[in-house]
Amino acid sequence: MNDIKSDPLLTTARYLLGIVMGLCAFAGTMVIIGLGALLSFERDRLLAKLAAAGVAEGGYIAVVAAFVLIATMIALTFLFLRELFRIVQSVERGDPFNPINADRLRRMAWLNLTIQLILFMLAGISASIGDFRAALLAEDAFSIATGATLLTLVLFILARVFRVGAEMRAELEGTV
Amino acid sequence: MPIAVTLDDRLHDKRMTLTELAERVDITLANLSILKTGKAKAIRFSTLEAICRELDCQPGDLLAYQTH
Repeated sequence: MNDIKSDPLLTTARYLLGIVMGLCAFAGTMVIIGLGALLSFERDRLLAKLAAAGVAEGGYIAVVAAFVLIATMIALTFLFLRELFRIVQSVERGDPFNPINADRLRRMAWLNLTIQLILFMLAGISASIGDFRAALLAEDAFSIATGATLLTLVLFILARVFRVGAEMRAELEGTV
Repeated sequence: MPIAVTLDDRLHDKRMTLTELAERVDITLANLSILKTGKAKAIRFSTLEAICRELDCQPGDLLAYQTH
């Protein structure tokens, strides 16, 4: 078994992933706090702002829904990064081709697909509110979609590659 | 498994220990031990060649097919 603990790329990736996961946790906490505020003491202020902006009646619900979706998206991103972090750890241990990593990659593909769907939903909500960032957000969501779709496909393929690799390795085990 | 490894007998004939053979064929003692105890699932030709060279024998002298 190869021991590649000193690989600087993997070490850097692990640290970066740790930082981004930390940022995700922070952002998620902030969004949840913001959601709590919107549902309680900031509710009246938001309703006034929406009314001043001429947003339709369901605007408040749409904003709350957007916050819930954003919090969900951040949580899913965190889970996606955690799976990637664990894959990096397994590579550092010199044991990347195992069925667990194949399952991780498949989960990452589904997570990515879900995140993408949430982005579409967010774009729809933004468009329905018609706020000043609606058009921009919708455009971003669609431009992200192409890359994300490709990433989902790549992850599903990689999951299959890892599964076959794990099977091949299992075959080699016990060979002297 | 119906394939039996008779490495122990060959080592005995040659008055050689498993550790000594492991050093000569450049294979870990653990792997050679797996082979000796019949726990190996497969054997590389390179391993077989090295063992035959050091024990001065044929592959057939190391392996035997047992019907039961």
